[in-house]
Order: sequence, then structure tokens, then C-alpha cells
Amino acid sequence: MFRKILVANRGEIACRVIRACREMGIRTVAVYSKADRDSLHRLMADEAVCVGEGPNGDSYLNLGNVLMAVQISGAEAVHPGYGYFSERAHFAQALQSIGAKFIGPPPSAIEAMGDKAAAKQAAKQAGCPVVPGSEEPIPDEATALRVAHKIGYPVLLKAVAGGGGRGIRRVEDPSELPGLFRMASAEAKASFGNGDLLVEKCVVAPRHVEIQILADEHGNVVHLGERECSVQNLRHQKILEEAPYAGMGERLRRRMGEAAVAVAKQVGYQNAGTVEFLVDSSGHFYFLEMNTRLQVEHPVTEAVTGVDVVQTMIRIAAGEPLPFRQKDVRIHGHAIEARVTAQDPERDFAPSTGRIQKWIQPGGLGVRVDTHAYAGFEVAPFYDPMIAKLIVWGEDRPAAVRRLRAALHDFHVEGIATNIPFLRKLAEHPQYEEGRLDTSFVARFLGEIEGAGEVA
Amino acid sequence: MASVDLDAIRHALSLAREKGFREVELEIGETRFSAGLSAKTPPRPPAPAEPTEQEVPVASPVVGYLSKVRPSLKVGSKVEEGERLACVTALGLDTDLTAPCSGELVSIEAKEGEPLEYGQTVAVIRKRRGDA
Repeated sequence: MFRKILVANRGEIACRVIRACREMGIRTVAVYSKADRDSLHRLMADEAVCVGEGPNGDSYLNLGNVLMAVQISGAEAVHPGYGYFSERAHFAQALQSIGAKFIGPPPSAIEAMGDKAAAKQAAKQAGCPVVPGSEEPIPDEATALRVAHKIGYPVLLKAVAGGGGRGIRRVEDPSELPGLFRMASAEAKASFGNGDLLVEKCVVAPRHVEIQILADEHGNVVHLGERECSVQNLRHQKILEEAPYAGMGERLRRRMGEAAVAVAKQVGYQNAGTVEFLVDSSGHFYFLEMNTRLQVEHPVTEAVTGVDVVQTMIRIAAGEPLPFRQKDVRIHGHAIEARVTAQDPERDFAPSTGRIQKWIQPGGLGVRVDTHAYAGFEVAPFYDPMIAKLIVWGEDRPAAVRRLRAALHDFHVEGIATNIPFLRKLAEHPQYEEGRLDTSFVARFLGEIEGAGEVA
Repeated sequence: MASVDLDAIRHALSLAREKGFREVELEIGETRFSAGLSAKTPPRPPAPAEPTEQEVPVASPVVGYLSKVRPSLKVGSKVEEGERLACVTALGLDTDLTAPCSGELVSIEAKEGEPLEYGQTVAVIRKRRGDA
């Protein structure tokens, strides 16, 4: 086992990893920016190395300084957390070259899943369903019509070079297709310098369901069941995540789990990863992408399986075999995570910065708060606005929802604006209670509260 | 605060401290002044005179190891702004560590080969008078 691990991250996830190391008897090294001098991760770690000024590019994404922090501290391994260097193959390679172990997948697997088209191809080869559509760019309207006819309407026209939702058009029937094709192609050309389009089946009212997998370096791959992340804001950022997925039967879980494991094996995956799927209203699922890192919402999986994902990642990186088999994985109860952010719901979720004057967090049985914040902590403008994750567990979903409401009621932050009032309203919503969710829920919910005055 | 009698405020504050008051409110004509006092606050030192000398740290610009320290450097050495004092070696590359101002070295805080974090003070220069 490693004796010293450097955590190449900040915020709650750095604290989370440091805690895991402490339990395992491993010394920790934090890296921090000048703006994070008083951040909890710096104070919690056994050692800390300042790697630059506040902005991410100067510090947490300053490759030279982070690598040198590994070298001068003598850390044997590096946990990247999520974001930052976690899905950068060149970082994993650079660590290798200075003799430190990257706690994550091999660079080849990061690269294989980083290219969306290649990832889809790999999933297909693994026998995993993918969203039906064209594999090659569509040259003209006639070809688009032919492909759309084959896969069935509605379809999406997507820019080959696209991203962030731009250059996407939804087509309901053949009569609309030629006009929308020309528009989408022109938009793609203007935005990305490439007018090539793909035609893809439009999955109606989809749920976002993802499978957590763990793979050791000895060929064992298991999955820890699913998480549902359909409650997303207008920028497709997840707000509430839960496990298990309420509409998941044992049979669907087994099929999706097996599909996720097959995808992981296809690319020689090691360590923790997440395979994301869209699930339609009739229970068909389609591969979306694979995240080759620890995810923000991993604690809901930990809550229902009892598996410490971060500690398992460290054991895998140290060469240990997985300590359990698929048949040992049991889902017990229901867990929900709410992302608490320093954003003002009354000002269109504008980021809020400043000193936290009061910090009162909920507790009790089945309540976990992962955070780097505390009373007196200064929220700097450079970083992601998430300041805490509230994770609740209950015997079943209704119990978990009740606990979420009670915990949000007891969560008080003063000095900065937070989204807690918004989370309370979301958790109180009858549709949320019933679990009738899809990825457009928040958009409709925001429409409902618009003009309702205060969001208290 | 256009025409505030600073002496009056100082007097009121020292009186309040002496008596152990927690808050002070002062009204002088149109001007209001208020202050919260902590019982344990030691009296403030008088404002320093206009600085004619200033101590400036020589901070490491990168994470690395201190190297190529100029052998002649010692406490008391005179240095010129921009002059190379040493290097910081990181991933096989040397980054110059230069004097941020002209003056006299008043302390050296790190040794050749020592690991440095970003911004770590390697030495301190007392700025030459009149260079402020």
C-alpha cells in the first residue's frame, strides 16, 4: 500500500479523499492556491504545497507545479478527484514518467472514452445498445431522409464537430427535414467551421441513469448498481441525484450492469468509472458516454451499497484485487444527494462570493455532509460554486425524501447566497416526491416558480 | 470625514478601553463615528511614520528546488533589481530567481537544493532608501 498520496484537487472532494487516506493510515499532501490558504483541504492534509495564484490555470491546472509538488513531497500516488486533471490522459502519463501512480484508469482508457464517436463505437463492439443513428457524416438531405426513415422519427440533427447543445435540431417528421437540415448545417459551419451533420434517434422524455463500475488490475470488473441523475438545471448540471433508480427492476439493473461491465472490459478499463445511459419510458436503454473518473455523486452509491468507492480506488491502484464479487453487491435502502452551491436563486443563480458568516449543517442518522466550507471561510470567485453535498439515506425512497426535506430545513448559511431555498422547494414538489422525473423537470419547475415572487 | 478631530476620537477610544466599554459612538457636529471594542484588544500601536525602508521578499515563482545560488550572496550583499540571485529547478528546467528591487539582503531563508513551494520566501531584500 502507498505511504503517501497527493490529492490534486480542492474543495469537498479533496477533503473526501484525505479522509479516506486517513482511515487507511496513508499520509496526505494537499496542493492549494493562494486563494485557498484557509480552505479545509489544506488544513486537513498532513502536508500542503502551494502551487500558484487563485485562478485554476495558475494553480490547480498548472501541470509543472502540480508535478513538482508530487516530486518534492515524495508522494507515491496521486488522486485527481473529479474535474481538473482527472480525465487528462497526459497527466496520467506525466505521473508515470516521474514514477508516481495515477489513481484512476490507464491513459489509453481515458483516451478511448474521451472521443465521443470512438466511445460509441467501443460500446457497440461490446454489444451495448447505442442511440441508433448514422455513423458517418451525412452529406445531403436525401441521405438524411433515408437514415431518418430507417431509425424512426423524431430524430436529432447534430453537428459532427458540435458541443454544448449548439447545432442540434429536433425533427418530428419527414416534411420538416430538408429545411432544418440546411439550417443546422449552416449553423454548424458558422459555429465550428464544419457543416457535417449526424442523424440520431431522439430519445423521448429520457431518464439519465448511470452505472458505477469498479475494475481491478487483475481483470475483475463489477458494477455497484445505478444512479439516477435526471434532475438537472438548464445547463445540464446535475442538482439532485439518487440511488437506486425508482423505475429499475432487478432484470433491467442486471442488463444495464452487464452492458456497463462489457463496455469497461472492451477498453481495458481499470479503477472506478461510470457508464452513462439514456433510458426511455419503455425501459430501452442507450449508451451515452463513459466518465473515466470518480463522480461528484458517488456517495449515493456508497450509501446504498456500503462500499467506500474512494478507498477501493486507492486499493485498486495499489494493485490489490477487488475485495468482493458481483454477487456480494447488495442495494439497501435509498439515497439522495443534493448539491449545495453558492448561487443566488433570486438572481438567476448568479455566483455568490464572500465570507461565510454562519454555517449550520444538518446531521443525524442517515445524513452526510461532504464540504470544505465552514463559518469564516471565504468563497473565492475562481472556483466551482458547489460548496457542499448533502447526502441522505432512508429505508426506501419516501423515507429518503422526508429526510432530505428535514435536512434541508436544518441547513443554514449566512454571509453568502446559496441555492438551499431552491433545493427546499424542489424537494417539496409533489412531482419530485412521486419520482415522476425526467431531464426536463427543472425547466418546467422553474417555469412554475417564475413570477411567484420570493423563492423562500 | 472631512474635518474630524482625530485627537478627540483617540481620546474617546482610550477612555472607553480604560473603562472596559464594548462600543463607542461619537458625534462631532455632522460627523458620526462608531467603533466596537474587544475587551482584550491591546491598544493600537501608533501609525508608523512614512516608510523610508521596506522589506521585500524574494518569492519562488514556481514549485521546484533551489539551485545555482550565487556563491557570493550573503546577508548584507547589495543587489540590483532584476539581478539573478539563484534558480529554481523544476522538471529539468531552470527558472531564474531575480531580485524584485534593488537593496540589501537582510536574510536568506532557503538553502541550495531545498524544495520550494510556489511563493515561498527564499530571501528578503531591504529596499534602498529613496527607491520606494
